[in-house]
Amino acid sequence: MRLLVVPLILGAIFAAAGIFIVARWPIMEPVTLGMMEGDAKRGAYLARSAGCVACHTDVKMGGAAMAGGAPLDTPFGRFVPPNLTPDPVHGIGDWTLDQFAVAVRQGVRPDGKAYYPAFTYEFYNQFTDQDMADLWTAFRTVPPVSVPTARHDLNFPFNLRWGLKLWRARYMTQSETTPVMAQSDAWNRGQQLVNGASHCGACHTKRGLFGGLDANAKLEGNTNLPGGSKAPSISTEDLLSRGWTVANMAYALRTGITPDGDVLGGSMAEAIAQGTGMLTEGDREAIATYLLTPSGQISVGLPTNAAASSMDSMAGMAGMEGMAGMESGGN
Amino acid sequence: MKRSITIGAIIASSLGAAAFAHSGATGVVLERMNGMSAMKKVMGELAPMMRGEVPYDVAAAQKGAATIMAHAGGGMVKLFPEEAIPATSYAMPALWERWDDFSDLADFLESQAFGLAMAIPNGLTAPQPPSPPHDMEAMNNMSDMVGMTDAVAQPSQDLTVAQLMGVEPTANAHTSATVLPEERESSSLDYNMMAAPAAFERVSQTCAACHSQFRRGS
Repeated sequence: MRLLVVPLILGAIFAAAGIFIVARWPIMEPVTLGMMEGDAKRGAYLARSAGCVACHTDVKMGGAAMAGGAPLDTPFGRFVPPNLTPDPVHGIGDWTLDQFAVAVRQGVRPDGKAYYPAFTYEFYNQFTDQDMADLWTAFRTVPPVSVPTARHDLNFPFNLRWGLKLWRARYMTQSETTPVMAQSDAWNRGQQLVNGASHCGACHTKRGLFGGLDANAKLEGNTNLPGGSKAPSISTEDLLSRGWTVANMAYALRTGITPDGDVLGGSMAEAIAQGTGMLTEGDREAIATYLLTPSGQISVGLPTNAAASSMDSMAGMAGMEGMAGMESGGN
Repeated sequence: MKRSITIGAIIASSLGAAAFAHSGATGVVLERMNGMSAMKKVMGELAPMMRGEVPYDVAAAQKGAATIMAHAGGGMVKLFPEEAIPATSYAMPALWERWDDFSDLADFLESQAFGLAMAIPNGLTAPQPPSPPHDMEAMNNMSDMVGMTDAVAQPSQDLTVAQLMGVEPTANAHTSATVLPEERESSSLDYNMMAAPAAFERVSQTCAACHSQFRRGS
C-alpha cells in the first residue's frame, strides 16, 4: 500500500510544481510605444479589415459598437468576444497603448496571462508600431459602454488558462507577410491582408485537436467552423479550377455572388457584410490577386488601376510604407 | 427521329441536372431546390453583365429579374411547409423557428427583384435627374434622400471613422436586408434613379442575409 502512496504523492508534487512553473512562465515581450501618435482613419480601416469591429460587435442583436460580440460556440466551449470600448471598468479604457500592442500582436493580457487563440492574434504579429498607434487611436473614438462581458464557458481542460502557455509553445503560428520584391504591389498588399489582418486562414485553414492551425493545409478548407458552417478550400489550385478570376472574386468579396451564381451564406456572409465589403475595391482586388497567383509565379492579369487604387487610398496598414522601402514590418 | 433525339436529350439533361444538384431530393425539397437553382442561374448569368464584362442585354436581364420575382415571396415560402427536415435539404431548423424573419426576407427579395426590373433600363450607370431642383428647400430634401446618393456611390468607398468602427451605419444600411426588418426602410429607395448593378447587388444582399441564417454549410 505504502509503495503506491509514495509515488502518488511525489507525482502530485511534481505536477503542482510543473503547473506553478508554467503559470509563472513569462510570455510577454515588453513594448515601449509610449505616446506614439496615431491616425484614427487608418486605424479604423485596419480595425475593419482585421475583423476587430465585426467580432467585438453583436451586429445581429443590435449591440453597441465594440461592446462585445456574439458568442462563438466551438468544440472547446463558448468564447465571448469582450467589450473593447474605452469604458475604464468593463472595457479597455484604463489600458495603455503598450498594453494594447502586447495584447494584439502577442496575444498576452495586461496581467501577463495568455489569450485564447479564438482571438486571432496569431495573424496580427506583423502589425507595425504605427499600425498599433493607429488602431489604438481609432478604438478610443468609440463611445464607452459600461456593460460587463459574459465570461467564456469552456470545457475542462481548456478552461485552465495557464495551459495556453504550453499551447503557444507547441502550436502558435507566425503570419507570413514579408513583401516579395518581384511581386506586384497588389500581390504584396493581398499577402498582407490574407495572411495578416484579414486572417482568412482563421476559418479556411483547418485546426487540429487542440485548435492549432494546420500549417501543412494552409487555406485548404475547414469543415468544422463555430456554428456548423463550412469554409471551402481557397488554395490557388482549387480557386482556379472553380472559375474564380480577380474580377469575379473582388466582386464576390463585396456581393457574395460566386462565379456559378450562388450567393455565399454561412459565416462568410458576415465576413463580407462586416469586413471585405467595406474595404476599398483595390484591397479586394489585392486579396484576389494574392489568392489566385500560383506559388512561384509572378502575379499578372490585374485589371488596370487596381494597384493604383490600393495605393492611393489610405489603405489601412503602415506595412504599405514599409513595403515601399522594402523593409519588413518593424515589430 | 430528330425529334426523339431532342426529347431524349432533354430528358437526359434534366435527369443529369437533378441527380447532380439535388442528390436524391424529392417532393417539396426538390421543388424548392429547383427554384433556388433557377435563381442561382440568373445570378450567375447577370453578374458578368453587371460587372460590364459581357454586353448589357436588357431583355435577358428583365427575364432574369422576372425569374427571381417568380421564385421569391409567396412562391418561395409556400415550398417550406413545416415538416421533419430530410437529409437532402439544406434548410436549417431556424427557418421555421424564425418563420417571420424568413418570410419577410422572401418578400423583401421579391420587392428587390421588382426594383431590379425597374432599374434595368437605366443600364450600368445611374441616370442624371431630369431637371435640377428649383429652390433651396427642394435641394435640402434631395440631400436627405439616401437612396439618391447611394445609387451612384460605391458603398465601400470613403467610409468615416464612425462607420468603419461600427458606431454609425453605412449610408445604405437602413435599406439593406442585413439589418433587422424593423430598422429597414425600403421606401426610401428610388429604383428608377438607380444603376442596374446597384439594384442587382441589393438582390444579392438579400440572398446572403437569408443563406447566412437559414442555409446549412456556406
